[in-house]
Amino acid sequence: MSESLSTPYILSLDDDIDFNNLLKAVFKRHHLKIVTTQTVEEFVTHLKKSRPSVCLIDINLEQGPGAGFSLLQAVRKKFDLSVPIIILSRRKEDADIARALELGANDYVSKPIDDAFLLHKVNNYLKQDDIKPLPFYKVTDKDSPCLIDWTNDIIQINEFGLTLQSTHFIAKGTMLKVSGSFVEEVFGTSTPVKLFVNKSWIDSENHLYKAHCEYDYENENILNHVRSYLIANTP
Amino acid sequence: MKSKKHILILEDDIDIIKFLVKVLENTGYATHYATSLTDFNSLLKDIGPHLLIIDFKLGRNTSNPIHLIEKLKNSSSYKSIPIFLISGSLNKKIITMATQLGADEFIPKPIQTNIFLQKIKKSLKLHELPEIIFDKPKTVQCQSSGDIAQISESSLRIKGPVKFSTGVELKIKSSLLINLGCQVCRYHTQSSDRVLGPGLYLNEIRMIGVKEETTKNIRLIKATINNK
Repeated sequence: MSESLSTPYILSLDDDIDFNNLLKAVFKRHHLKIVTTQTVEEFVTHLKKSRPSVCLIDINLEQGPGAGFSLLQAVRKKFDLSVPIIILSRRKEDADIARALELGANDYVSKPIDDAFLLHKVNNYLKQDDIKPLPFYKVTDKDSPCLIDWTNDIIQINEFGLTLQSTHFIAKGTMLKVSGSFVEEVFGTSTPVKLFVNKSWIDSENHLYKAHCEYDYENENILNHVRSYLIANTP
Repeated sequence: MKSKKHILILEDDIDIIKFLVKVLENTGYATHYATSLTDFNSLLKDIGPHLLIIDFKLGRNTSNPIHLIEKLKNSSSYKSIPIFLISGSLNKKIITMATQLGADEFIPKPIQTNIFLQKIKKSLKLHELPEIIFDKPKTVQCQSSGDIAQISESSLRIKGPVKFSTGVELKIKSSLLINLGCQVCRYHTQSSDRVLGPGLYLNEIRMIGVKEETTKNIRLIKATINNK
């Protein structure tokens, strides 16, 4: 075979030959290159030789049940921190999935594999146009409400409000709740503090979005705490 | 709505307190008062006032206000808060001493309401509480609400007021996701190139660690819709 080194390829590790053949068949159908390996040594040799677009690793290997976890850890620490790794496993417990993600796996797919599902997961890293995305289903209004949490920076604070900075754009008029140790320090409460975004703009120099938020003026308690904080912490 | 300016009063004469509270609250200020130095100190710490009014001639139980003014003006935290002294006696020596220590105004009794309020207004304008700009930003957890509009076996499309950047981990709380068995799932933003209206964005979010059982449950959503 005279494939060029730059050809995107999938590197897999599983001690089950039949499963490896199945993987080959699935990806071949979509003209994707896959190198299957059966042992950790073989896998590591390939990994060092040429960086794969994505790795598929089984948890239970010849070396013993859970050997995949150790390999995952080793790859993250020693070899290549950023290579995408998807764990493929017959183990379906929440604890196994949580552990894999904790150790740095990019995703987890349970066996027996669903071809379309695995292809889609792998294609998150290969980005081939001819692999169709999985179909979306409409969620009913009753089921749709959700709360979204993310981290943000506070860069300025005064007695009327504060300024948030992040890579996310928060629209004017948004109601937010903020929490965390800094919020506790300033507002003296472990309950999330309500904020109202009254101005939102882009800091084009730093490619960051800023949002100015007002406090809830009905909440005397937090206002008192902010003033105390300002008085005590002014440089 | 704008937040009120807070004034803390140290006075042991209830009638004067009543008078000050009435006049100041009617003008739109928020007032707090203490009749002892201990209460005064704890209020000072808890409410972070914009201005202080201190009676110059407190009763025997309270220590000398001169010491208090001196202490406040020497404190890095409180030195910028304006202090108004109220006094019945107009002893020039004492006035000079208090002013030298940093009292900002001297209000003689009986208080002339108009002049008093004008002075308060002017002083508050000059002494806004300072803002703090952080050289090293402080990280906080933010939360907003959204609507899961669509779901696939591997992604969510969520409508909401925040346009998330790509490749960021979010936490999502929803009864739908709990019912589908997504307890261990993680959520990473994928793209948010669709603007649905002013301040409303459609964010595509990748679900990571989706169990087989969950993918089955998600496919059942489709069945539910088709059956109707």
